[in-house]
Amino acid sequence: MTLAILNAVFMSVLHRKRELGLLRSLGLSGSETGVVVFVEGVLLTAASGVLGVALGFGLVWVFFRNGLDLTELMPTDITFGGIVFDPVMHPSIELKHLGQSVAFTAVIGLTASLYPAWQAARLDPAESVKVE
Amino acid sequence: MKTTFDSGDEVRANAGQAVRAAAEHAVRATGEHAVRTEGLWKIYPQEPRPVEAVRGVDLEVAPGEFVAMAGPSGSGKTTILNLLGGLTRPTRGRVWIEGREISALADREIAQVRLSRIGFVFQSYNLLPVLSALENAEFTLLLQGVPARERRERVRRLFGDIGLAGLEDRRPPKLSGGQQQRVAVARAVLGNPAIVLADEPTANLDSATAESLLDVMEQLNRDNGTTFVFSTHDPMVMERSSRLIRLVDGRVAEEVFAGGAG
Repeated sequence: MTLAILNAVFMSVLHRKRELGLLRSLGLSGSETGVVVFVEGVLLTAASGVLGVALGFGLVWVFFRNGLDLTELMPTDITFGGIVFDPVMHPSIELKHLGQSVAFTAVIGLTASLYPAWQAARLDPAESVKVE
Repeated sequence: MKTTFDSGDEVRANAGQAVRAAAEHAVRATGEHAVRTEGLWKIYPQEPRPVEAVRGVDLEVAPGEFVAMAGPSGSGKTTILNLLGGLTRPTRGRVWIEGREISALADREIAQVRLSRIGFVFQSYNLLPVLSALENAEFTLLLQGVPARERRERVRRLFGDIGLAGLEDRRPPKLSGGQQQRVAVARAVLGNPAIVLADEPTANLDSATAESLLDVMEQLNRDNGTTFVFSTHDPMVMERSSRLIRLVDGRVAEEVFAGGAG
């Protein structure tokens, strides 16, 4: 996931080199340009996090609100390590797990946005505005 | 610095001297040059040997001048514009914008000078494709913190003056080359810069469109006193400039004031 976000933000820096050079020519400093890219990466992560959680909830609600019925595969209860599993499984959503997912995504998003932001801050503006 | 003098035409020579006198008067009146450089060098470290793009250039541009720099490719025109705008740092030498030495400033301070005192126009327009013409033009004002309503008013007023009225909501791909370059000029001048640095602004335009773009820039130069410095290959730009600086191999080879006075 970190690599995916890093790749997305980094590719966006490469593809928008000229745009970032333009921001420099209009009056943004290197560090401010880096902040633009960093904030963009964080927003991208936040948006994908929110979308992911919403889709997850939606899928669980639509398909599994009556439980995931595995009786076709497991006609009787299964015992594993002394624990008996019901063939109809009911998902449970706990606030704690939601919080953990959000925190995990946030840490990954922040980390993965740092390097592209640093690259953007170091772009040579004179070279960047020439990029075709 | 070598200069030329067209001795064959006294009238043109007098006109050139008048242009020069006007520039000197502008410097006296404001107390500062719009742009000044001293012993400017830019050397790019490259293999097998470093490239000397700019070699000891001394320039003085008075407030309100309309100056063109011409020369073959590789003569250092674009590099000098980048040095004047603080987009790149000189290897040696100094650059002043309105008396402030920008070559000695930190990155953040140079950015501030660019935001408040310098406008750029590029050969390939460099508009943001996802923004409308109006949003592109107001971008500098947005960075300057001008309130939205005032931004829109200023853009609409200028668009009316430079023949872009009615095109405010169009995105760059839906505009002609000439219209895109006008939007770029609007973006460059709306923040009330002291100086506009234009890198071959007419290179991608046909001659009629280039002429009308130059009309716009001359109008802004005349009405607002904005200093323009061009790099160009275009004879029309050279002809209409108040001073032509010819560069060869990173040096000033010749300087001609309008009318032919060196």
